[in-house]
Amino acid sequence: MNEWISHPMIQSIIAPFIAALIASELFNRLRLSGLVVIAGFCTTVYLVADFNFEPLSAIKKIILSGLIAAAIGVLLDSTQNNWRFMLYLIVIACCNVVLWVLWPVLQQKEIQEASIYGIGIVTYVTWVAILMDRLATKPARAGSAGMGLGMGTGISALFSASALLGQLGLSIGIACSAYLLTQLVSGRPFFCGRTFTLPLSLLCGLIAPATMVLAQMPWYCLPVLAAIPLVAHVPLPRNWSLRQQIIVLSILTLIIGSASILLAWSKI
Amino acid sequence: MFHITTTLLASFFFFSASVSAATDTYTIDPSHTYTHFSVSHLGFSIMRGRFDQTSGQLTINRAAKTGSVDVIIETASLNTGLKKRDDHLRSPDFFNTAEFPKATYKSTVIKFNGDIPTTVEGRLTLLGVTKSVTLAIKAFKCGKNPMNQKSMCGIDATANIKRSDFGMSYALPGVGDNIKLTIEVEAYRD
Repeated sequence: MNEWISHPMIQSIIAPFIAALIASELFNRLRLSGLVVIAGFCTTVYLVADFNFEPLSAIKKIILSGLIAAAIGVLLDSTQNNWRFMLYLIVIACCNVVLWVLWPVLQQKEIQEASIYGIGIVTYVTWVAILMDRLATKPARAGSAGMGLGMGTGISALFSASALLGQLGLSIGIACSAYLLTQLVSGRPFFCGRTFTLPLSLLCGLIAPATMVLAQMPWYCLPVLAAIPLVAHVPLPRNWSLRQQIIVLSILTLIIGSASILLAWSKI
Repeated sequence: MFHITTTLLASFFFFSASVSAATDTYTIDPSHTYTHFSVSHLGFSIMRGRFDQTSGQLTINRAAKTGSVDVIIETASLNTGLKKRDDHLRSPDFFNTAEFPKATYKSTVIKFNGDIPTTVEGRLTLLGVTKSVTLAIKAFKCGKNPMNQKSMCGIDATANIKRSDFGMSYALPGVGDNIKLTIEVEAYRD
């Protein structure tokens, strides 16, 4: 049993997929199917890392940030606010979180290098947060973006010498694929909201820069990954069914994700 | 007679003072000091590697049976003979060298058998976690280096740790939890 649970395929693909399928179906009635992201992510965290936050390393900060983001996402969706400034608050929070996570590494670099890294990672997380937040009411688009972003980030991280970050990223992509599959099968959209987009954008916005700074991901993977949520906004014919949208958007986002994977692989 | 006695007494007190005050400080020679680690790999073999860069200082007073060890290991200098594996070990999965570039060991107590140190009790800080670790000294010698005639000491020591104690839990139990450390040190007297 231990050997089975220790297998990376189980830890980062099968287990989070099953957890996300169950979460998607169960929580949709409560308008909380967006919790699939954190359900899949936490399943992999349980299997490959743990929820012990001492010492508070970068990985632990990422896990903690994901949990808090999911809780905030649920809160925001439950209050159904339409604050104009909410997006700005989300972006500011995401920027602060990414700097908090990677500050111990940035402060070891020369000022010029640290500034370039800092500006790059803040730009990346801002971009992902804004684009994903705009998909909060569009489950097919958000799910496709999440799948492409998660898988692209995860597999790129695997090729960038960090299996742990890779598995965490992959679990997010797999969870999103389960979310899309339930909608594909049922033919009806599931609830999305910031419950889905906030933890997704923050976790993917953290994992890719962390892999760049802490492992071997080349910096040029980040702009490629940043194109994924942009591609999810591509206009589609209005008469397309949900299933058609999911299939086309998934293919597009996975193609972009594959480009990042190829770039990471070519650096080996 | 009185003059001889006085001289002998003065010599005795001078010699005693010299011996009890003779705490020698040694600076580690990085080119002859390495920390090796070995760990079970999937139960099939023992994988070995080492850290190529170590620095620090030792002090020893063999008459008073006291001393200290203060060592810094550059974690990114690890070397297992394969770049891909070294990159993986440097990643957050294992040694997370970008975030924790140094591991340190500071002694608290050195135990002697006669005037030969036998164990060093101290604190190892790895991945931001500090735990007590005891080094067992297997070999110890001080003398003059025949090549450069400088006073030096050499030590071989071992220790056993659990990597999970320091928060390094990725790939357990396939990659073993028990790590054997073997340290060879050469240090020149300041």
